Amino acid sequence: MLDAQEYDTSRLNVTEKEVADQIKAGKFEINKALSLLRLYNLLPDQMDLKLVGSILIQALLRIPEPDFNLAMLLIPERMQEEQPLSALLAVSQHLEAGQYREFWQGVEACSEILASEPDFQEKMRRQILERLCNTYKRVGQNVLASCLHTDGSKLDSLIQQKVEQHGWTVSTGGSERIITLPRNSHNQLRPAIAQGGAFEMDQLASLLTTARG
Amino acid sequence: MEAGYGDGVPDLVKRFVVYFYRHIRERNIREIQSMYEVSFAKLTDRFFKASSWPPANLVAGLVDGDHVFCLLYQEMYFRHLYAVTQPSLQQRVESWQNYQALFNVILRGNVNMQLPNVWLWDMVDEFIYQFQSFAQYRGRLHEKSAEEVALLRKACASGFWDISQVLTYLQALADKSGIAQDLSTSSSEQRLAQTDGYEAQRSNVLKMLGYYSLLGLLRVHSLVGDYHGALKALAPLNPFKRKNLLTPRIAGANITLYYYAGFAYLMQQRYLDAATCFNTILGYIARVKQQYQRSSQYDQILKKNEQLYALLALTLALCPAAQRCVDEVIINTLREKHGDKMHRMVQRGDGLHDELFGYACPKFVTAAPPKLDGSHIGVNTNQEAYRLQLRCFLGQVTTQSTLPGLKQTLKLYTSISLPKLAVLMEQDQAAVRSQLMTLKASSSCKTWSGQGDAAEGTMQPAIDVDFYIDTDPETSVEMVTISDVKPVRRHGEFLARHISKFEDIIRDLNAPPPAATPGATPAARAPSGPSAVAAY
Repeated sequence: MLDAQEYDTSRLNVTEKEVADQIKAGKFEINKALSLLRLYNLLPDQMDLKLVGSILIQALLRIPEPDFNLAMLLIPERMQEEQPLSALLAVSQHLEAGQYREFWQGVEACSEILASEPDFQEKMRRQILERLCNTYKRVGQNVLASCLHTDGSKLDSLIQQKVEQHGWTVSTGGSERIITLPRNSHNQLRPAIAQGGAFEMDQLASLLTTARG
Repeated sequence: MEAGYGDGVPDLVKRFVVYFYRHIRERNIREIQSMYEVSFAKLTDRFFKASSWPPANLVAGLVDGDHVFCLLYQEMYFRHLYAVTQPSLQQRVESWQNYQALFNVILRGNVNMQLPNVWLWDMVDEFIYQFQSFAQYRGRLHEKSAEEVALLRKACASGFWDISQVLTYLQALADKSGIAQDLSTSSSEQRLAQTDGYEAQRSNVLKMLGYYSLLGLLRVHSLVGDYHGALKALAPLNPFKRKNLLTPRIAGANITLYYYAGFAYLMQQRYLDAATCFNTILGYIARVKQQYQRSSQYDQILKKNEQLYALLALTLALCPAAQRCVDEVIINTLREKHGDKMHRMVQRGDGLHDELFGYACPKFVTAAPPKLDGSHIGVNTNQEAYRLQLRCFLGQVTTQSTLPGLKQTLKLYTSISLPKLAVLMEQDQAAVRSQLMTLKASSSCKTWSGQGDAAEGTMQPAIDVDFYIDTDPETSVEMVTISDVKPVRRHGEFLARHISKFEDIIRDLNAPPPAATPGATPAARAPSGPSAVAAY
């Protein structure tokens, strides 16, 4: 159950500090952040946009957890249209739609907002890479470069690291290098499972008694 | 308009009050329930169809001025008032104060009476309904004169119908009733289910109010868009652990549980969980509809039924793979009601979503009161809450709006190269690649998997079109390979169910006729056999 204190507006400053500390220590947790947003809902004039922006940045890093959407549902519309929230919202929409070129452009544009999270770009690269690994069996280097927004030596060192640690293999042939990604349940077809009619014991029992008499 | 009461209180009403009081004192649950459900409704119909019942001070004399009885009577009085008229600000404040007084008495633990569970549920339900009504009332600033706004400001400042107070009461009822302990072990849970909360020497009031307050918390949190909080507040109840749930005994309670839980899951994009909830409750309503045909709640139940079908249509449109969580019977009914809408939503990602959403969503409220300092005269703030929720929901829809077209095209092939797919879809390769990534990402949903409370879950597959992309080493051309995921047809279960149904019918037909009642001739009974057969 939720605490009865969750809606106690006198706790606003305490909760703000707790959330800020959590983010600084790298221990962001969605329940605390949602408590803060609930309190802001009761006192919308006291909303600290910068802190809310930090919450949204943390939530972005945690996709596919639904934290970003949960937070947006508690932020009033007119606040969503102000900076830095509107920039973060636009960036998240590109991310969800898989439009990585626009996503990275958006990230460049709001680099000051994202400055609070120093490893933002690295962590986002890891997230996007995971999605790529689920979708592709083999991926070309150019596609990899454009999705991850790296090239040249950085891309090479990334590929090298993955080859050593995660079982990637690289083959050259044709115009660019092709990387074979490790197999997982997503990037190969599942075998079709024939599901026969499994019925419950009592249904079978009534059928059998009927058949008998 | 209140007629001149005093001696004008009808005799029947006086007798009702006296007997009602006596039954409550004697803890005669069956009589209390019958008077509450049947007699009250009959008297209302006869005397108070368009006006309110006599105020409590006029009947206090009949019951020795019993304070608690007057509070209970007033609860029913205000509930009726809200149903027949538009209450004034003064009446709303009085009703709030009545609830405060009543809950305070109960929370102090001094009551030893027993009340029917349906009344306790109605109390919680009405409490939240009046809160919603007040929030709507205070949002309609454009209808109010300056003095009315001033009065309203005073009322809000005193905390009347403030959301934190409402939640505090519900939470206090849930905490003090010890309901969490009762639901924590399976043996105590079972005992609760068997006794229905009525235990011989104790009062069921606090315990059952605690139980229903959990549902109340779910509802209030959902009304302000806090879906995660709603599911967490519902714990220890869980819509997926149906074995010892008490809610199916009261239709209103069960519908509240599954409607709001399902809606909370839908807004969190947990489509599989949402579909399971809607499936459970739609099956329940279909089974118990007949029993409530004559009750005053029948219309409400039917309306909720329609709203639930609309929500299910939205869920399946956004996640066709969730169909496997829904019974065939319900899918058939859904197709009859919303078949062409769903077709349009699934095939073309058309803009019908907001229409269905607007019809089926709860009446949202803003947590904070609107600014009453004069800057917002002439404004209606009730739409704000609704628009925020709609906007977030449509955001989900927009992300997926390109997917139906993509899925249509993919289903026609077992493998297709990306350039060719781009040509077919009349878009460039980068756009198609983005859409394929989105499609892959939407293939799994957070779903409750048996652990933890209703808000927990793990990612489970929800695949509609299974595919992966391979890149040819020589030419760098990307090839999309698709597999068929056929919907599972459960023939065995379907046939077994229908065989049992037919067996039941045949058994009824072959049963010997019931014993003849005095006065009825045996000849009158004969035609029932052949005509029953003819009907089938």
